[in-house]
Amino acid sequence: MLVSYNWLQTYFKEKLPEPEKLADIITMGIFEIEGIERRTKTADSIDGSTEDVVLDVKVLPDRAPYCLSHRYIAQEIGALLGYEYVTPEVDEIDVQDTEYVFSASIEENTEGGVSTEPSAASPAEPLAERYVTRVIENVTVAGSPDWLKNKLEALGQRSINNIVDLTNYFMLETGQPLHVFDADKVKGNIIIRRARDGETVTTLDGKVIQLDPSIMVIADDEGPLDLAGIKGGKKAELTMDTKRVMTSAACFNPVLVRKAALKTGVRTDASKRFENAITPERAGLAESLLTSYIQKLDSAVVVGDVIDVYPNLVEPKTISVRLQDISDRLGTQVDAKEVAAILTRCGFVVQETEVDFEDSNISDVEFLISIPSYRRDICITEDIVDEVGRIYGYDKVEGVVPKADNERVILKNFYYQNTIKKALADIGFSEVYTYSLTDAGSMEVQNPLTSERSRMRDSISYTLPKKFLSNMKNADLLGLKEIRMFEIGKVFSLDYGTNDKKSVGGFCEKHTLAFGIARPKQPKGHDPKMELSAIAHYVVNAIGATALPELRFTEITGDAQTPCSGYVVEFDIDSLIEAQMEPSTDADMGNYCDSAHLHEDVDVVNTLDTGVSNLSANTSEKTQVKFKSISQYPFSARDIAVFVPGERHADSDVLNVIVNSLTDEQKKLLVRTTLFDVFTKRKEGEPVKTSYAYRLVFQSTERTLTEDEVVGAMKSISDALALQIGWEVR
Amino acid sequence: MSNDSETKSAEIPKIDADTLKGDTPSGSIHPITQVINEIHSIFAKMGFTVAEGPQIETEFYNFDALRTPKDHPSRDMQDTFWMRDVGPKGEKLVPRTHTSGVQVRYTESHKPPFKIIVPGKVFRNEATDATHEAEFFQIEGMMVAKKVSMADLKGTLEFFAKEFFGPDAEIRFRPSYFSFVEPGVEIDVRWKDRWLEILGGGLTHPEVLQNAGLDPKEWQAFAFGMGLDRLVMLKYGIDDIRHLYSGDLRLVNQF
Repeated sequence: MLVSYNWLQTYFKEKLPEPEKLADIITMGIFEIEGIERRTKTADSIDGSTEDVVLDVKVLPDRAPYCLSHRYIAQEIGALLGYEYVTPEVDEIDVQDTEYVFSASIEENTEGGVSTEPSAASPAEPLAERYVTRVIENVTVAGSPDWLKNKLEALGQRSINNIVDLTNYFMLETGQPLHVFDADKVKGNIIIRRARDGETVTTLDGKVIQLDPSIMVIADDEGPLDLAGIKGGKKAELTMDTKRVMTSAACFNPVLVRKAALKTGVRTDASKRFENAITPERAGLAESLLTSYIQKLDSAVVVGDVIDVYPNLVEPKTISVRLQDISDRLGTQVDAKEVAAILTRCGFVVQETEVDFEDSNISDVEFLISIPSYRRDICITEDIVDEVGRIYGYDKVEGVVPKADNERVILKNFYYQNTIKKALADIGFSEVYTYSLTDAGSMEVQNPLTSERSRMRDSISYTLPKKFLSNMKNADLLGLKEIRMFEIGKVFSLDYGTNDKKSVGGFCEKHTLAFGIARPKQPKGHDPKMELSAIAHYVVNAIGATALPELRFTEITGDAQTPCSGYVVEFDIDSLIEAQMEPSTDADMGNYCDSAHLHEDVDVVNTLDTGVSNLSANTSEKTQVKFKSISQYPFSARDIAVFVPGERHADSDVLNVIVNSLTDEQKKLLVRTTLFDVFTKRKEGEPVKTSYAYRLVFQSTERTLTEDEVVGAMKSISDALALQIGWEVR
Repeated sequence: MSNDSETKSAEIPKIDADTLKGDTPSGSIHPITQVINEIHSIFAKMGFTVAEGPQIETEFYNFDALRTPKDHPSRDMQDTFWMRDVGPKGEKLVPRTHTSGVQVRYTESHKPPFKIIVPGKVFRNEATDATHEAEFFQIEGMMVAKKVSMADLKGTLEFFAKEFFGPDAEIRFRPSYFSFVEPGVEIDVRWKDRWLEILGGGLTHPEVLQNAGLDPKEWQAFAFGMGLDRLVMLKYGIDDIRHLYSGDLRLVNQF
C-alpha cells in the first residue's frame, strides 16, 4: 500500500523520524518497505504541503484486515516509536429530515444458485455483516478543496470531485471502502443480495458484467446498482448534476467478494480490502467520517438519519496469556511491565494479575487482553508473542544452538543417490538438472506458463539427449572429446508411485537415473549400448545392489553441423535403493559430493588464469569457486603443434610460451587450452624430439571475435614458439 | 571362485572403474547438489536429518494443512500451477509450491522429538527471467520438541549462516507472515556488507501441529525455509538462475 509521509505525520504531535529512518523502523518492526519515492510540489498546489514522500508498505495477509489504511499503519508506527497517536475526531453530524425515504436490507445467505461452489465460508456466513447508508440532500458536486486533492494526488490518485474524493480519502484513511450513489437514480429500496442469472451490471468504466448467483450485488427494486465490494455501477453514478446522494458502507463476506472478483476479473482497491475481512465496526466509523466531512465542506447539505443494518454486533474478544508462555516462546525472559506497555501501545487493553498456577511452583503474571474488533488476526498466545517479540526486539534474543543429541539417521534415498552421483562423477560423468515441466508426459498442468512447459515429464530421457547435442557443440570450449552426463530426478505419471498416503513418492512419481555418452564418432566395432550397460552394472554395484533393473535406451543424434551419436540409458532407482541396508550412521556425508571435496585432479588449464574456471587443485577454501559467466558469443578453436627436443618433459613450458606470447587483452580471450596429442620421435630408441599439439579456444564475453583477431593471436603464438632455440612449429 | 549361490552376483561381475572411464577427466557434481550436501553437513552437526516428500502434492498438504485456506488472500502469496488430474480420492493436485508440506507429512509418520531438513524441487507459476524460475529448489527445516523457542530458531540459523557464509556472517529477524508459523519472521543474513533476504521462518502454528496429529500443548516446533538457488547463485556468483537447469556443462563443469 502506498502511504504518504505527510499524512502519517498528522496522527502525531511529535515529529516523525526522517522518511528513510522511518522506513527502517517500519521494516524492522512490522512491514517491509518496498519503495520510497519523493513527490515534488505540483504546479497548482496552494498550501505548500504537497512536497511529500510516499512509502510503499508491504502489508501481508495477516495484517491486511486493518493495515491497508493510514490510520492503522500510523498506530503501528506509534507503537514502535512510543509516540502518542491521535486519530481525527468525528464532528457531530447534524441530522435533519430528508424528502427521500428508503430502507436497506441484507438478504439471507441461502448459498443459493447453481454456479456457487462449496466454499470455505459456511453457508451460514451472511452476505454482509453490516450495511450502513443514508441520504444527503442538496449537495453540490464540485471540484475538491486543495488539501483533499493534494492528499490523493500525492498517492497517485486522480481527483474526481469533492464527494467521490472524500470516499477515496476515507478508504485510504480507515481502510473501509466507501461508495456514494446518486439517490435520484435509485428506485425504491436497497438490498444486498446474490445476483440472478441473466442480470448484468455496467461498471463505472463501462464494462458490462454478466452476473450469476455467485456474485453479490447492491440492488434497488429494479436491479443491480453495483458489483458488491468490487466496483460501482453506471446506473446510479454520481455526476456533476447530482443533487442527492446515498452513502454506502458495507462489511461484505470476504470469500464471496474474492470469488466474484476472480470470476469477473475485476479486482480493485476495494475488493482487496474486503477479501481480507475488515471488521464491521469500521463501516460505521467510515460512513460517519464521510458524512461529517460532506457536511463540513458544505453546510448547505441536508443530512438524513443513518440506516444501519447490523444484525450481529461484533464484541471485542478477550484472551488471557501468561507471561511465562511469552518468555518461553521467545526464548528470553521478558518483563511484565514491558509486555503490558508494548501491548497497550499496540491498541490492546491489558489487565495484569499476579497468579499462582497450580502446575508450577512459581507465581506468574496473567494478562487479560482485550482485543479491538479490527484485530481479527489475534486469537492465540502465539499471536501475542508475535506482537511482543517484534516490538521488544529479536536482537535481544540470544540464539541457542541445538545439540546433536539424537540418534543419527541418514535418509536412504539421500545417501544412495549421492553414492551414485559420486560413482558416476568418478568415471567422467557430470551432473545436470533439467526441467521437470516439459511438453511430454501424461500429467498436464491446467494453467501452464507456455505449451513447452505444460506437462510433468514422464522420463528424463525426453530432454536429456538434446542436451548432449548442445554440449557437443561446445566440446572444444569444454576441452572434452566426448560428453558424459547424468541426471537423477523425479518423473511423473498416474501409473507411477503408490497409493500409500505415507509414501514419499506419492501416488504418481518415482526417481529415475538417466546417463549417457555422446561422441562425434564411435570407435570401430564399439557397441555404445553395451558400454552403458556395463556402466549401469558399475552404478548398481556402487550402492551394493546386484540385480540390474530394466534399462531403457534412447538414441542421441547429432545434426549437420555437429555430427554425434550415442545413447541415454534410464532406469528406476527407488526400489534398488529401498532394498539396500540402512546407511551406517557414522557415514561421513560431509565429505560427499560437497563443494570442498571435489576437483582433486584438475586439468592443467585450470591452473592458468585464462582457464574457464579458477578452480585450483587445493580447493580448501569453500568459497573459492567463482563462476565465470557463460559468454553468449561464438568461440573459435585453433590447433597448433610444436616439436621440442628430447623426451616429453616440457608441457608447462610450451603452455607458458603460448600464453606469454599474448598481450593482456589477448590472454583474456584465450579461454581454453587442451593438450590433445603428444608423441615422441625416437632414433635407435633414443628420444629425438617430442610433439605437443594444443587446441586453443578463443572467445570474448563482449563480442564476436573477428577472423583477424584470432589469426593475429595465433601468429604471435607461432612466432614465439619458433623463437625458442631448437623448437620447431609443425 | 566366489560364492555361486548368489546367482545374480555371478551375472554381474564387479567392474573396474578405470576401464569405464577411458581418458575422460572426472565429472562435476552440479552446484545445487554440492550446496545441498554442504547444508546437510552443517545441519547434521546440530542433529538434523534429511526428509523428503512428493513433488506433486495434494491441496491439503500444500495449502490447507498449512492454514492457507481456499478463497483466502494468503493463497495469492504463491502463484500456483494446478494439475488436470486429481488424486485417488478426487483431491486437487499441485506441483508443490514449497517444501513445507513435508512438515506435515513427516510429523504424521514420525515420533517426536525430531529435527529435519527437506531439500527439494518446488514449482511456481511465475514468468522466468535471470532471477525467477518456474521450478527451483528449496530447503525446509523443522525442529519438534517439548519446548522450542525463537531463541532455538535464531541459534540454529546463526550457526548455519556462520558455517555457510563464514564466521563474520550475522543474522537478523524481521517480522513477516507465513500462514503456518506464528510469530513469522524473515531472516536476513549479513554477508559482504549487505543484508541478504534469503530465509523465512517462525514457530510452527499450533493448528499446523494439530493438523499433523500432534498435541500443541505437549509439543512445540519451529520451521524455516530458504531458496536454494539463491544461495548457489550468491555463493558462486552465478548471474542467471536458468543456467542451473539448462543442462549446460559450461556451467556444471566449472564445479
